[in-house]
Amino acid sequence: MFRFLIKVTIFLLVGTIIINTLAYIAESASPNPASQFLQLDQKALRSLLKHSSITKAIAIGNSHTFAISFDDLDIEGFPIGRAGGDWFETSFILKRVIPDLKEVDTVFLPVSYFSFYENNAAISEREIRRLHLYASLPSWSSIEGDYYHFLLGKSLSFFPITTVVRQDNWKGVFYAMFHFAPAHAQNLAIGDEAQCQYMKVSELTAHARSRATEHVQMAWDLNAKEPELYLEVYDTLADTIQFLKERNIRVILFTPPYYEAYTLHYQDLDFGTIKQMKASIKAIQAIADIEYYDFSTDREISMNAQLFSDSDHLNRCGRSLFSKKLKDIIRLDR
Amino acid sequence: MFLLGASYYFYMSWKAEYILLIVVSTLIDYFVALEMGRSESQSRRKKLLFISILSNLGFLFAFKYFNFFNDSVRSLFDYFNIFYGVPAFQVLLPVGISFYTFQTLSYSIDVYRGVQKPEHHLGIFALYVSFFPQLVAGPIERSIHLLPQFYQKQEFVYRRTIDGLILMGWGFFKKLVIADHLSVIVNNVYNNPTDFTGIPLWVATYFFAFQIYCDFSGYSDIAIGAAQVFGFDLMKNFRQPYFATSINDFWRRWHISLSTWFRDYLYVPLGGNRVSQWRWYSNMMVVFLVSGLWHGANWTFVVWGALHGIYAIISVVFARFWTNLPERSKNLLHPHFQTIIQIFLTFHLVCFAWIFFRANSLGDALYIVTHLFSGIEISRGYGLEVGGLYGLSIIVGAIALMEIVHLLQQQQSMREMLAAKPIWVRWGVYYALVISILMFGKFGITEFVYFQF
Repeated sequence: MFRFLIKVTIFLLVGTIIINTLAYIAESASPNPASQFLQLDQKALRSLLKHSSITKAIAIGNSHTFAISFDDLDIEGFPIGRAGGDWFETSFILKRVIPDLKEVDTVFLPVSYFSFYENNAAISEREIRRLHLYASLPSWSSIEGDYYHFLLGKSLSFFPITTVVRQDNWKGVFYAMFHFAPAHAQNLAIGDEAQCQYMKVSELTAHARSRATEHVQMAWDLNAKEPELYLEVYDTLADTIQFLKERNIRVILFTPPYYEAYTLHYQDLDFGTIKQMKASIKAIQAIADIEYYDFSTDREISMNAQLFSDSDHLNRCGRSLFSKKLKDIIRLDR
Repeated sequence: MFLLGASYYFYMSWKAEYILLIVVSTLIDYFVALEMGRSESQSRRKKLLFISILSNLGFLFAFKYFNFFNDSVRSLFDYFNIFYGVPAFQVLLPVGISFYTFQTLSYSIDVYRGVQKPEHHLGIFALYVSFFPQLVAGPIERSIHLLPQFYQKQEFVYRRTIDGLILMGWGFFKKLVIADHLSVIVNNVYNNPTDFTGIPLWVATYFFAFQIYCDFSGYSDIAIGAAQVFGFDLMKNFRQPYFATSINDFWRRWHISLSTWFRDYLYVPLGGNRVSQWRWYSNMMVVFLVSGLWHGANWTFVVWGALHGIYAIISVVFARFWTNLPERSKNLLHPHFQTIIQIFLTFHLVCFAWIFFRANSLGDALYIVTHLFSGIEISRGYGLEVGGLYGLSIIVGAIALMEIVHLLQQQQSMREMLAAKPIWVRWGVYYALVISILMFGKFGITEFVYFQF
């Protein structure tokens, strides 16, 4: 038995070296989108903690967080948007970083239509984001009851399995290594980020339809799987707000502008979810001093396709316009 | 008790309330067997056996076959415009019900026959019924093989543990690298067969033959390997079935635990081959029809079973014809060439039957059968484009590797072969296996095909 344990240990150690070597080769040849998200998370959190002494405001949540441009809000702020991040993760991060951010007095939290029906731990395609949370945050505790993902996430740092296990089964890596031209994903964007890239109206509308359907389906699936999820998210949000208010931090909830076709299609499929989301925010406002600004159907932005990089994300120009409008309303100098 | 708790927890993690079925089935057979052991009266023992058969098959019928027969009767009534008001039974099929009911039935029948003594320890018997490695998809273990093992003191044995882990790794390779890649192409064709004619139907059928083998034998390897790690020996369930030289040989190599179950508990009690010629043919057909039905509540499975029944009968008839041939005629071909032809023919007969096994309906199956030679008018490509050339390369390479291993295993077990090699060769093979699974495996939620039975 002892001999077996020794051999297993050596086998795992050598295996770790091999896995890390393969991960390095794969990332060098053809970076995996999933591991790019992890790298972004790690970079964002490191940067935030590095600038903790001057940061006055943070925006944190899913990718809709990036609708905020602190330059246009004219404040020292830092966005921590995590693509596909859910409320449990947002709350978890806030509770761990806020004690280190002594200067922060304002927190922006995006609320999407589907925010109350998101739980990455319950969706197999999105579990990886939960693992990324634990891999990127220097904390040895987990979201309540989430020990399995915590262990896997922590092991990612020294055993990058998710970099070796690729959706394309290493096709991109081999193609890159042997200089085969991979099939490029159709690039629908016009212009680049600096020029405020946007899609043609027809393509943006098609994207809106498919994105809204995807979000609605996710909410339905999760509601069927976890009927109590809505309440759990509500409780988590309320608890997070209380945590921030106890530290005299101003809490600003917002729903960013979405392209009109996205909202229309979402409403067609599931108006109830949107209504429920707004009712929940109202209920929280009744018990806590928080602000909520709903820009989801702002006419100036929502009807202008050139302000969107895709149907539910603003491009640089859209972010600038939205942030300026938000600044006028919230008056950060008060 | 730890293993019993773990086995129940394993089953309950799918749907907790269905553990009641296993518990009830266990209790019925436990007490029935004890009573049979105490009873001297043959008639009373027969009645007790009947209780066991009725309860086990009753559960199976209720959860698996009721809706099938109900729908069939409804269709018949509708055809004659007669009102039929029996509603469908809205219930999920309990995972593994076909396997554990057959396993407990074999125990009851063996006790009745006097082959097995009744098990007095309820916990041990419950573990026999619910042992987690083989609970959901076999192998269907015999009580005389498995029960005594639970009384043995299990000690850690290095070689056995390593062999078990290697077997599990090989099972995962077959499932994740071969079966799950093949399923993408097979599903693309078989879920929309009318979009294809000719070559794509052939390709999808061949691929399904390998998919179902790799999926099921992969699971069996994982189950047997896991049991081995715990110190238990489960029966071999597959023996390179596509190297079979006849249909009878195929059934001695495919799902061995089920085919021997049917042989011992249905075919032999019906009289086997110790009856008149026509009764013998009828016995074979009954066994294969029931086997088909065991696999699923759908007429496609019944037809699949019937086809194998026909094959078995024809092979018996042909065997007689072959025996009567002059020796000179039998040796026209070189023996190796003869073997290759036999393997080739048997494989294709099996593949033809797989069409019915995989098709979603009899209509689909008949479409495929009637369009195999219909040229190559393709509206959705060959069906292979869903996997892409790269995906196809993984499949072909992995199948080639698997068949090389099978060929080598004809001479010697791979584990014995590996055990004789230096450590760097052994570890190289282990790492290659694990890394190929990580790099080329299809991960995500994919079910094992035989879980639906």
